[in-house]
Amino acid sequence: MASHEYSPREALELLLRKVRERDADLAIGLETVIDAGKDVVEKETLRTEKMPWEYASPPVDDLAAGQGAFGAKKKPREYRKTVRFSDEEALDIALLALRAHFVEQPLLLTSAMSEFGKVALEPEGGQKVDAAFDQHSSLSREDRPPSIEVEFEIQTETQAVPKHEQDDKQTVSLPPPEKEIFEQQRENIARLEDLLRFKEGESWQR
Amino acid sequence: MATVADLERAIDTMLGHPLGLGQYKLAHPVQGKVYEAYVFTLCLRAVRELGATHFLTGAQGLPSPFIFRGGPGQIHSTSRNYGYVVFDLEGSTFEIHAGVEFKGTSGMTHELDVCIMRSDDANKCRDQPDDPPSASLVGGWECKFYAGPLKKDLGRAFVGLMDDMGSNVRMSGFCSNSEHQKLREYFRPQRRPFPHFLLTPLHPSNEDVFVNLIKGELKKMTAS
Repeated sequence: MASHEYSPREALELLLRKVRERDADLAIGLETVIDAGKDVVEKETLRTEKMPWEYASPPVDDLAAGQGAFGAKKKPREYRKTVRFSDEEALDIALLALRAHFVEQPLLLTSAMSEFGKVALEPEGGQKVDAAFDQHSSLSREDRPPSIEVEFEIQTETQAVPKHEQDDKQTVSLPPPEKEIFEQQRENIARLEDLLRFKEGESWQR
Repeated sequence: MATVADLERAIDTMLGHPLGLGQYKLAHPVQGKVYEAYVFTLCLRAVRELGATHFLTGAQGLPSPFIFRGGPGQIHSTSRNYGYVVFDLEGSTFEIHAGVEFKGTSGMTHELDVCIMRSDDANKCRDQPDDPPSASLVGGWECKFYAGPLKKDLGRAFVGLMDDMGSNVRMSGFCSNSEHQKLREYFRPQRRPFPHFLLTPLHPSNEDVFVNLIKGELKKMTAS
């Protein structure tokens, strides 16, 4: 603790404020996952009263144990409830979310595009599948396109959009990041994780 | 001692990086689809590693660019040239799709984020526009990119969906970059979807499990 000029609460507030100033949507996303809290199992002690005729007098043992008259027994009951994250846990969750957006997501693109780069397009001519396979098997590596562009539809096809309101750009092409840029951002997040580590030996890595 | 100035600088550097907020704004509307594309390409990798002949195609010919659906859609849709993969393994032809709706055994339609299906059935549905029957499905995967802990109801919903797809489905899985211990236990019984949690390039061993399960099942069902 002594190695930080700020508390976990102050760090969390600063992080959320900085994100909110630059992108309200992302800040709302972070707040939502933090506010969702976590499920915990708690134990509750219930008193189950016995009928008076079951005991002529309260058993001595029960009285000694602090239980009620007529042998009332405490029976633990487990139940689940949602509680808020501690400030350290909330920081952890916020960093997981940021890592998902800034590291995992670009990495998914890189991985997907790399696999697309290894596969050929359908041979031209619109043949039946059997013929296409025959022609395809004779394709050499050089016949394959150097890269296949992948686009993601922004709108669902079931969404009703009047023709005159339709934008020409209804798909988005996401270029995979260069390795060097990706590594820089990975280091940036690792640096932030170090600054937000409040317990010795604690690791943010999943 | 770590100072507030250090922390501010680290946050600013991360947010201002080219893969910070700029990339987030670009990718956020479709980030779930990017995860589907990633799982789609893991299926592609399984097919490639099996040595199956395969190529990319589209409902209206060459998929250039290769377009992923923005939401649930019909296999016979011609509103865009949505891409898919055709592959041949030991004389059996299959297709890999993303975001296609199937007709469940109850008659209700369900979207599968990523699926492998029999090509004959897919061709029939494209020739005579209809949703493919559940019997045409070989494998189906639900894909959830979550920037936080997963929610339990997602797992329950997918178990219900796969239950309606009948008992002929050879493989199914719930894929996510996140994880949930209770859901992992929920998926444990036989015939429930495989929990492919923490399925990202950051965990190559999880990718290998996913790919090898597909390879094993496809090999088994096409063994002569």
